[in-house]
Amino acid sequence: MQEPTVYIVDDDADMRDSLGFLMTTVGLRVAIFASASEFLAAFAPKGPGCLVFDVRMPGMSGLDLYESLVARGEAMPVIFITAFADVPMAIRAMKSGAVEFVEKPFNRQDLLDRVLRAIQVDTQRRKLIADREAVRKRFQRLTKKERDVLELVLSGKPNKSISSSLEITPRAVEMRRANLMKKLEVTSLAELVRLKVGLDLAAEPPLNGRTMLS
Amino acid sequence: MIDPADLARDDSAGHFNRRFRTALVGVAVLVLLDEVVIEPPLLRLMTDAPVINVAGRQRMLSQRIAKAALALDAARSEEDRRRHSAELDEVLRTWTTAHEQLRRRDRPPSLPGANSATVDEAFDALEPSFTRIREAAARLIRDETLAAPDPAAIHDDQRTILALEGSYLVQMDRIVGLFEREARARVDWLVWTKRILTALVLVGLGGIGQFILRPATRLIERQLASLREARDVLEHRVRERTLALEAANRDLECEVRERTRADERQRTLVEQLSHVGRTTTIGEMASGLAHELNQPLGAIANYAEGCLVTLSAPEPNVDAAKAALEKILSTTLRAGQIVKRIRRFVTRHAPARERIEPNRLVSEVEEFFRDEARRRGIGLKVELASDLPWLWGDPIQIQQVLVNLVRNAFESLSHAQTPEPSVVIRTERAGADAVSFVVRDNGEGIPAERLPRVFDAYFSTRDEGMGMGLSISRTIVEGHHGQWVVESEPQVCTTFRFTLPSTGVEDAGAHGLHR
Repeated sequence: MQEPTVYIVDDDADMRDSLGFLMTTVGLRVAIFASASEFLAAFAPKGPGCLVFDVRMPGMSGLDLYESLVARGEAMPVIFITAFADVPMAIRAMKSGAVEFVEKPFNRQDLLDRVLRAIQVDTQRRKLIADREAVRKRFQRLTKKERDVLELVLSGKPNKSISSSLEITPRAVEMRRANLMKKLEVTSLAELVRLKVGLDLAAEPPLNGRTMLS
Repeated sequence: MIDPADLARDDSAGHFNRRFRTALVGVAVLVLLDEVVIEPPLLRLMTDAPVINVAGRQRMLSQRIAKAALALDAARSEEDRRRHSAELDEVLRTWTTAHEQLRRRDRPPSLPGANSATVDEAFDALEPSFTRIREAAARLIRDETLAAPDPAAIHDDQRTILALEGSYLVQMDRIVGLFEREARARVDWLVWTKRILTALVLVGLGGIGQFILRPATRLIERQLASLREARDVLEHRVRERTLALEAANRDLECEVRERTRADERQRTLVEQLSHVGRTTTIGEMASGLAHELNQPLGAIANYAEGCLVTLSAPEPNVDAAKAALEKILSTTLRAGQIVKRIRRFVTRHAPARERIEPNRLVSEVEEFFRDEARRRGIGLKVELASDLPWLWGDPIQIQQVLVNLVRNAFESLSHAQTPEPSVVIRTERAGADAVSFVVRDNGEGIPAERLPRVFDAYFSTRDEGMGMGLSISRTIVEGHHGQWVVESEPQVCTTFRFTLPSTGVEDAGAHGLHR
């Protein structure tokens, strides 16, 4: 996986430049953009990262930019920098699952902490997504017959009942069950159940770091 | 002033003129009369002397005839006789010619002039004596030439001559006397006529003196007197008028001073009012300005923090820290500029009258709002005309008007859901030496019925603010002799335009200096 990157979008040259400088001093990779359109044209994350957006910008605002990223399914943890943390804006931001608000003037250490935390969240999220993807791929390796057996196994049916429902021999059931356990890389029924439930529960990993961390 | 009596006298001058001409004609007539009446008698007088001489000589000639006749008779020798005869002949011829000359004055070769009746009568009386003497003498001369003259006849003729000579002389004396008397009478007539004419001329001259020159002199004196009077009156009036003008001038100066003072007071009031307006504006804009100031301050803090982190590292990146410190420096200056701008806008200053470059003013206002426009997502554009004249006035106040207008435009846009909110600040040339400032937005606009009231104090469409901005703006623009035009098509376009003359304020300031 790539190094984490901080994406800064601010129309104020001094502000984005100084933020970029601040981030690099703690060893973060930064990418700086003067406007939303400039950012959208270049944004293609290969690894974990964090977005730092100025809310008020000419053209597309920070919130609009984030919403468009969510719509594209490319959302990352975001920290909005604003001078006007008014209520309607916050509500709107929460709906889109934004991470943090930092009100100017802000504490620099606090911002850095938030950025690092957001990167951590994104890293975990990305790991989680990667893990889940691996599990999904294991399930996809199963044949149609093995999947039928798996379904009945997970519903708690014994082998005898499975053989009668599928109209196959108990021996065949045993063979298929052993195969699928091997393909899914589990050794016990309990492990198999947990794997399947975990996959079904989190169809989409949550973005809110706090929810994840708590 | 002209006295009507003078006008009458003017008329009398014409009257005198006429009288004078008449008198001149009279004198001329007298002179001509002199020519006509005196000259011919004078000429005749000149012929009187020869006539009297010739008449006188006739007497002497008649005696010589008598003497010659006697001598002829007494002559001893033939030679003597012939000599006497020749003498008689010559004298007789002269005598006869002269007689004819005297007798018939109208027939040449006669003496000029004419004989009076008395003279003619005397000549008529003389005629028989003359004729007989002449005939006797002629016979004597003829007889002498004869070979055998008749002594009795000669003797007879001699007696006749001697006998008639006496009466002839008497009559001729009378004729000469008549000639002399007539000549003397003519001389007397001439003398008297001349005297009368001279007297008439003198009377005429006296008349001219009495009836023309004297009244004319009096008239001239009167006119001179009235002229002097008129001159005195005029001088008096000029003095009075001069005094009145001086007084008026003093009043005018006073008024000018008063006006200048009033102008200064007015300017001071406008400045006080506009200062309150600016302070209010800055107060209302405080949060925005704080944000604008926070940008560079935040950036500075970022750089500083970054420097701290960098320099705290085991192997600090000095170059990076140095670059950051340079950034801190330039950003600090930027923040300072903002503070300076605010302070200049708010600081109380004496009403200024200086040259204003319209485009620079607009650029500064744009700077003022650049950040706010960015934050509000409003496109703020500036369109500057080239070749604008300079203006005279208070740049801060004009700037204040523009700030008010732009703020109003921003407010109007924040109320309207305009898809592409924009505000344009323009400068335009208006005629030869005036400049129009235009602020145009595409916000909610002003309904037609509210347009006339936009400049009223406390009339505000905004929730915040006192509604003083446009009222103060109007006062400022009017203080600069400017004019307003406001147009609005709600939701489409609203335009505030004020036009300032390039000379107006300068004139207003200078009118107290020249008079």
